[in-house]
Amino acid sequence: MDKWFDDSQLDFSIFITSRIRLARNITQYPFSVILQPQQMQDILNKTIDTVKLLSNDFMFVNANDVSDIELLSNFELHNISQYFLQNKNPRGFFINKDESVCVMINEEDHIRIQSICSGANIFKTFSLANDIDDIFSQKIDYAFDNEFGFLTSCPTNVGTGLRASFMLHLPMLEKSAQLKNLVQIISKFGMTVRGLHGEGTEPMGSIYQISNQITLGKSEEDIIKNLQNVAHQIIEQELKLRETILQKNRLDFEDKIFRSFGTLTNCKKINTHEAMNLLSDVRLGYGMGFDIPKFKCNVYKIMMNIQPGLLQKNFGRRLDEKERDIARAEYIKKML
Amino acid sequence: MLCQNCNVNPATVFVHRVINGQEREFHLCNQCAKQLEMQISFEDLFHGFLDTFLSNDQKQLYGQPNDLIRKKVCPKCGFTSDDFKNVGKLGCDQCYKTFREDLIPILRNIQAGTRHTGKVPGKSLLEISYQNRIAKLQNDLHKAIDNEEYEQAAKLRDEIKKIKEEHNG
Ligand SMILES: [Zn+2]
Ligand SMILES: [Zn+2]
Repeated sequence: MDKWFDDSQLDFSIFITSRIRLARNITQYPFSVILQPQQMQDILNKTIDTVKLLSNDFMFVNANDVSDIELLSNFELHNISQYFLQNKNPRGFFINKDESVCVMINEEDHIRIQSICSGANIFKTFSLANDIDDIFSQKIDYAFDNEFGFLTSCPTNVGTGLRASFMLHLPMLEKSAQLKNLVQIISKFGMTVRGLHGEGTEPMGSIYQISNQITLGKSEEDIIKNLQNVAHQIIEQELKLRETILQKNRLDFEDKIFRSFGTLTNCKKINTHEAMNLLSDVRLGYGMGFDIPKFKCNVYKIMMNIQPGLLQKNFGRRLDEKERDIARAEYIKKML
Repeated sequence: MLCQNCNVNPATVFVHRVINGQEREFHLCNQCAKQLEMQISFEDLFHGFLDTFLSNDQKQLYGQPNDLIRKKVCPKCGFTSDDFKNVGKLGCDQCYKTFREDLIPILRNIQAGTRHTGKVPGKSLLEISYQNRIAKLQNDLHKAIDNEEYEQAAKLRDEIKKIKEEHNG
């Protein structure tokens, strides 16, 4: 079965993904800060029963029953968060067949419903999460208040509990001085910009996540529309920069991109960081209409599969850093 | 949790006192906390004069004058306003009611408002979007009337009527 990221047209879009997260809590239990392990286990059992009853699309993964590589892979795919990856509490997640919907149980909130689609499909993505939310609310008493909306462990998420985000590929903006200004302007609109793996992680492959920070005082629809507006303005800037370089210095630019492709497909070993930068160059080349040979799948899928966790998972065994660099180069060549 | 003084009402106030150099904490109901506060202001006045009226238990509870710090405590989960300040997170859904006064200024700072206008469990989004539209138009209508813009007000009134008819039709 095709996964959400098996999208052959994705290489031509600055929008890589659209994501939605809804934070929910169960009224009977205290929030995560003071939740006891036995209560966490109860919540896990309760949600497993609920999901069984309501849908057979989902597989449940108990986080304490799987290997660290399996967990790391799910983190790299954005199925689980850094917080979820790193603690040892009773916790787990439900994931559907095309991996477009993943529900984390016992993250910072009891229930975190997440959905993801390729490209600029934010409203479709929202309805995926919203449907699951409706299903859960039939069987679970949510912590909800008429004044403050959905009550969350942290007041930064209260109200809609919604985080909507776009993952954007912004190589030209990154190289220009404009990105820093843009980040400042965006924060004035109640939005934030982060790297590939969210808070505190370094940007890789010129991929940036832009998301709303405001969750209360605006409806879901308004929050998403605001995000769309801001995203389109950012993309306009990126496209302008791309146009300018073509007019000013096409040959040097094309030369650099093709050299990146050459290195990427001929090297014997390569680390994640270098590979991400070269893949970003190639993706930019596709986007600008250069005649670069295509890979068997879209570049974003390769970008995920060269991360340490997924690389080891697909290789079938644990690899040290040196072995990973060799396996990474081999994998990229194989995808040509 | 019940009040440690009367053992009848739920404890809603967290009292922190220094007694003979030792920190002690008590969970009290609102009434007992008020009584204690009054007691202490009396103690201030009479400077130990009331000593004779207090039982030993009460003395232990009341301690020295001038060292009472009144804190709120969540009756559902026991979280205190200090816990909230230290962790920046809440202990349970009831905490939002308990610490409402502390929360409002924070929400005003970090959010677009202090009232939820989005999804309600069990209600469709269409219904909510309808209610939000009506609420906004009615707000505009009141503003128009306040500003004596009667032509605009008439337009808004028609629009509200039309949307309501469409919705109910
Ligand atoms: Zn009492
Ligand atoms: Zn509480």
